[in-house]
Amino acid sequence: MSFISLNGVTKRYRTGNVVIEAAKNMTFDIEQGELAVIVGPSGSGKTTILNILGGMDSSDSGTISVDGRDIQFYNRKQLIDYRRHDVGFIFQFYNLIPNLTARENVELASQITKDFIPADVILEKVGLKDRMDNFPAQLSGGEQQRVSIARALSKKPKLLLCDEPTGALDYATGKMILKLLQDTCRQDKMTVIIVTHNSALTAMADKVIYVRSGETVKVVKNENPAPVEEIEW
Amino acid sequence: MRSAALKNTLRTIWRTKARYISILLIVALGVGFFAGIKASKPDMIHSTDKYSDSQNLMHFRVLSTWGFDEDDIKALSELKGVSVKRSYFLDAIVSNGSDESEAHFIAYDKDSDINELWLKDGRFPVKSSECILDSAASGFAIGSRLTVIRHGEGGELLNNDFTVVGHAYSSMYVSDFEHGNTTIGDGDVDLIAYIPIENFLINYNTEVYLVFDDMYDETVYSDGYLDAEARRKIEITSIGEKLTRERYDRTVLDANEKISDGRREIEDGEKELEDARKQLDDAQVLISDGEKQLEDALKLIAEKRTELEDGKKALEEGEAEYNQKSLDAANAGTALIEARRLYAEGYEEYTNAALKAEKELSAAREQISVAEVNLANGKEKLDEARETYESVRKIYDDALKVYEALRESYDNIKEAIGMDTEKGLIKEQFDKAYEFFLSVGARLDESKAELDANQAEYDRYSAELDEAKQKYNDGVKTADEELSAAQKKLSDAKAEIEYNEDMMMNGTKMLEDARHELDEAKQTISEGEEQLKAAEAEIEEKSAELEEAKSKFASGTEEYNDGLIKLNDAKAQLEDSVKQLEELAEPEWYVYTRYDNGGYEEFGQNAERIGNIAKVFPAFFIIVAALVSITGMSRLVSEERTQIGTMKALGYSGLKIFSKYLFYCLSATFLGCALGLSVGYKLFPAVILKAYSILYRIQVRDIPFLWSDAIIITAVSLAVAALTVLFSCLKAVTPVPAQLMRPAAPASGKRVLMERIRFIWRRLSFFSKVTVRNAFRYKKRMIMTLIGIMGCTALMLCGFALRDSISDIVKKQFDDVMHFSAMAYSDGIDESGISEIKDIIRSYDGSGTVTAATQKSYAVSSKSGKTQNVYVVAPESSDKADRIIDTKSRTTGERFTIEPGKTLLTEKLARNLGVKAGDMITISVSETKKADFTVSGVLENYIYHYLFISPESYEEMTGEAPEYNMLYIRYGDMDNSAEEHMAAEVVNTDHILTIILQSAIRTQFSKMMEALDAVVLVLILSAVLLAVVVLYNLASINIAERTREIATLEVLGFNDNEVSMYIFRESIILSIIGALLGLGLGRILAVFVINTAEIDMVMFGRQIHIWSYLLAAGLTIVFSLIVNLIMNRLLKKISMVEALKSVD
Repeated sequence: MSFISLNGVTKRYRTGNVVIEAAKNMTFDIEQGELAVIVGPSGSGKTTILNILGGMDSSDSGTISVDGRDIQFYNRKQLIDYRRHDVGFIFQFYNLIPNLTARENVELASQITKDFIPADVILEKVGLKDRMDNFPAQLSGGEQQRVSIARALSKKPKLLLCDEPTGALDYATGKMILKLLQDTCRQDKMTVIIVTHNSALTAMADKVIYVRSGETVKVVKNENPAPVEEIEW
Repeated sequence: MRSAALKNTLRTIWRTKARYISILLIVALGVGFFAGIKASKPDMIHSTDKYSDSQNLMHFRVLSTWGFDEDDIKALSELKGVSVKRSYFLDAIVSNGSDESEAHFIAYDKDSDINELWLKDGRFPVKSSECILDSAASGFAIGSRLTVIRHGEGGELLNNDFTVVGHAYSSMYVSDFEHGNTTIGDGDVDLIAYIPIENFLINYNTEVYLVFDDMYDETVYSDGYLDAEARRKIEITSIGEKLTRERYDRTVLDANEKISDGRREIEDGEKELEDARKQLDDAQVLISDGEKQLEDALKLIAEKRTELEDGKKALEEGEAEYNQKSLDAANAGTALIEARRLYAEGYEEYTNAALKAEKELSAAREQISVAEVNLANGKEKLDEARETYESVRKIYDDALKVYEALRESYDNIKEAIGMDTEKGLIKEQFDKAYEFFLSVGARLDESKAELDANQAEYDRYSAELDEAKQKYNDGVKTADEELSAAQKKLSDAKAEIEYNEDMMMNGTKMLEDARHELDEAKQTISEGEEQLKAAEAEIEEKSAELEEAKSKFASGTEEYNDGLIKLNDAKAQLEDSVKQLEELAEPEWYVYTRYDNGGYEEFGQNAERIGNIAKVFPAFFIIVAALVSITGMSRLVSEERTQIGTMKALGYSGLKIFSKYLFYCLSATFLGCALGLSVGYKLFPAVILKAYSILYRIQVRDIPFLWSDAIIITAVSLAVAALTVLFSCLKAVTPVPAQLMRPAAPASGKRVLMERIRFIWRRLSFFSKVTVRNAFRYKKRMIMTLIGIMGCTALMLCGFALRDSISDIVKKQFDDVMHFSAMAYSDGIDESGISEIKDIIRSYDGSGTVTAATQKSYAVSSKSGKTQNVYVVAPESSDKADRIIDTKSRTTGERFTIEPGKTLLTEKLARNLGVKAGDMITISVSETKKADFTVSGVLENYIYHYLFISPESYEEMTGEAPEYNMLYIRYGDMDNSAEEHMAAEVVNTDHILTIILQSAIRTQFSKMMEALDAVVLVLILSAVLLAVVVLYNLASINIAERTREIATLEVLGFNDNEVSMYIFRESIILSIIGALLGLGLGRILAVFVINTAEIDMVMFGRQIHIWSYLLAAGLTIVFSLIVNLIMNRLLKKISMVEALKSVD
């Protein structure tokens, strides 16, 4: 069985009398240590599926198995636990706490887990050794995203979920972040899932999942993923 | 377009209804509290004004030391726009049957509408013996009787017994406790009684009430009123000065004229008296002469009278003798005649008797001879019968003998034959024969018996005859003897009669002579008597004349003496008058205003105090309200940034966009004002007036909706709200649309000052650091939270402190300060009386004490000109003051004793007078007599004012030895019934007028203080409401602003608890800090409030209990926690997905 396995996942949103099916019968597998890219246009349900995978939202039907556990049955408390120990999240707008320094933002995550990578170590690793005591407002977008990645990695997740991680970044910085993610995947055997509308990123993935209108269009396994440096868009 | 904008605005309101309502509420709270507290002062004043106007309360009360005469009244009535009420008053000691109290009687005039009474219960008096009492006189129920025991100087009352028919409130006496002072009893008026005006038998009016038309138009306590009052007072005073001067001059002139008249009259009188004296002396000589003559004459008459009496007596004796004699003579004559008649009768009798005897004797002789013949015939016949019988008898006996012989032979034969013979013929024959014999024999026996009877009869007759013969012979003999004896008697009687006839002839002659002599003597005596009578009549006449003269003399003397006394009196009076005139003080008018009236001024001061409080408290609410609405609006604007940007991009002008928020805020503010004003205007003044109504009996409660104030307050609130909106929008409306369409840059992080203090910072945990950093991140909100919480704590502490100080009054005063359990009022008690009371107390509590004191109410003033009416107490000895009160200072704990020439006074009094230890005070004993004392100590005391001086100082001050009129009694705990029993026993002694138990006063005070709790409750509730609204508002904004942050934490896997703590740790810490700061602020506020809220005769406690601090802080924190808990629910509702949605 795959490390991550989605089978027939459906999610509906109700706004007043209108029901929107954000995800319809989504099915795919992701193996451990794989770098997967979910790609699709705006409103295709890719973020919805990421949120469900990250335990931030629940599905209406279908099964989701992560590392052998069926999280579709998780209650609120189990989901919190799941997010706490198993998942790392990276957002387009970083979602750093503006009132905390880079180090403190990382510590915020590590404070609540027993097994963690110290903030200094992980920040050094993402290349922010000299900026650890800066507040987010004093950091550039790329730096902020790196703090965000450091924060996600510091609690040693099994799964790194990235929602348009380069959406708010310029080309070079974006590449740098993608590189960091790919390196993390390759070096730490971390399972990384990146959600993006940018199909250029599919080249760097081990597996590409195409979605449209809430449905998985196709799942393509990339036998020879390109290093990030080689990708251009 | 217009409607679309409006719709948009209304939708916004609906969407953010919680915020809208919170702005509305905070405005309502702020405005309501502000307006309500602020209106309390004018409401108090207007109520008083309305009450006094409705009752036509006098503007001036004028008293005169001489009373008012017609001229005075006339002059006052001529003032412009005045109404004058003439009245009377008289102070008296009255009794309800058991207790005595000091009463102030005031005329009740149903025809006058000035100083009208406000009926509480019962009715107004109709009859002159009815009275209506001031409502404070609870000891006299309707129907009870009120008896005047004695009254003060000035006049008399028609009735001395009154029936209580009702109770009324008087606008003259608004305070329940101050009824003024009096010169009788203990100096303190206990009760005010209104009695029909005809009761006052006083020549002049003792008081006059004045009401001026123009002063009605002015509100009492206002400057306009005070000005008018001052103006009128000068007018009245100048009239008074003029009239009193005139009246004095006139009086002196009259008096001098009268005195010289009097002098003249006295001289005339002296002359007249001298003449009279002379006449009297002459008369006395004449009278004594007359008396002597009369005496002589009387003596002569007495002698003559004795002589005459002797003669009369002799005459009487002679007459008596004569009468006896003539009576004897008459008797003798009568006897003689009787004797003659008897003689004649005797003679006739004698003759008749002789004849009768002769006749009887011859008849008897005849009878006897007839009887002898009859008897001889009878003898013959009898003998013949006897002879016959005997012959027959002989035949019979022979025959019988034959029969018997035959019979015997028959029987023998029968026996010989032995047969039954019964049936034999022979036998029959025999029986027949025998029968025959038997009958013949019986006949023979009969004849024999007849014969014997005849013989016996014959014998009897013969004997009788013999007797009759004898009797006849005796009769003849007796008759002869009797007749001769009678003959002898008759001849003797005849001889005696003849002798007596001779004697009688002589006696008659003698009697005639005596009669003659007696008649002569009688004539002489009657002549003498006539003479004597004439003399007596003359004497009587003379002596009557003399008596008349004497009585005339006596009355003359009396008149003279009277005249003399009168003359001396007149002289003394004249001297007195001269002296009085010399000493006569000019009359003086005292013009009193409403403010001089107990309670009126005080109530004004209290209104002022509330006014002061109104200046501090509400400002606080207003500031908080403004801050809250600023934050709310800022938040709203920043939330709608994008929308504003869109609108701007669509071409809406800044003004249009601004007007939406203006409408939002102004409508909330306006509705808040409407709510706050309508509740606040009614609630706060009502509660405060109600609380004061315990102390002041203002019957009208005028709580109007103050439109002008309301409009101003609303306008100002709206203006502030507009400014708020302007301030919040400036940042949002000015930038270009593109900028607005993006999310506002979150406030950037900054290092806080604390981080520089490394050693503290390092010690803080990670989350503590985060909390500190966060707290300082939103400074505005932090400060507001702090202010809100501080305010809440401060207000609560203030409320609790007020409660502490109020409840402390009763506890401290009665447990610590007062060293006595009861006060017994006396109208003068001596040592023996005191020991009698002591014995009673000791019988209940062996360790009880009784301390006598002289206590009177005087006006006491300080150098700074402040004056206060105070009980001046002189205990029986200087060292016994601490048996009455704890003689120690509250602040230093120093103990004092009374020193001569110095005084101890109670703390509040010292404060009111503005004096401290070492200063001088002046006691006004009377208008002219004043005494100065140095204050040697200020004593802890909370209720009423007392001033202690030594008995020596008292004597020196008043010039009289202290007369004990108060006993301070101390005893241990006692149950109610025992205490009442003891009190009754004490009052039942002759010395005590009434006794007041501290336990009763304590209850009364407790009740009074309970009502003030209402004010405290209002404060506390307002504080809580404020805290809740502020905290809720701030917390909700906090959460709204940090939704993204919170969602991030949740994504990171923070559990609910950790998220809550991350957010609320900050507000908890702020609550704690705010509460602590609030305690400090509260303390300051409390001291201010206590100082301003205090009433004149009471000092509030100054100690705030530790519990109040704990409770104020604790409750604040609890409320803050509750608000946070409510907010916690909001936290859970935050959706990570929504919050973190990427902004494309």
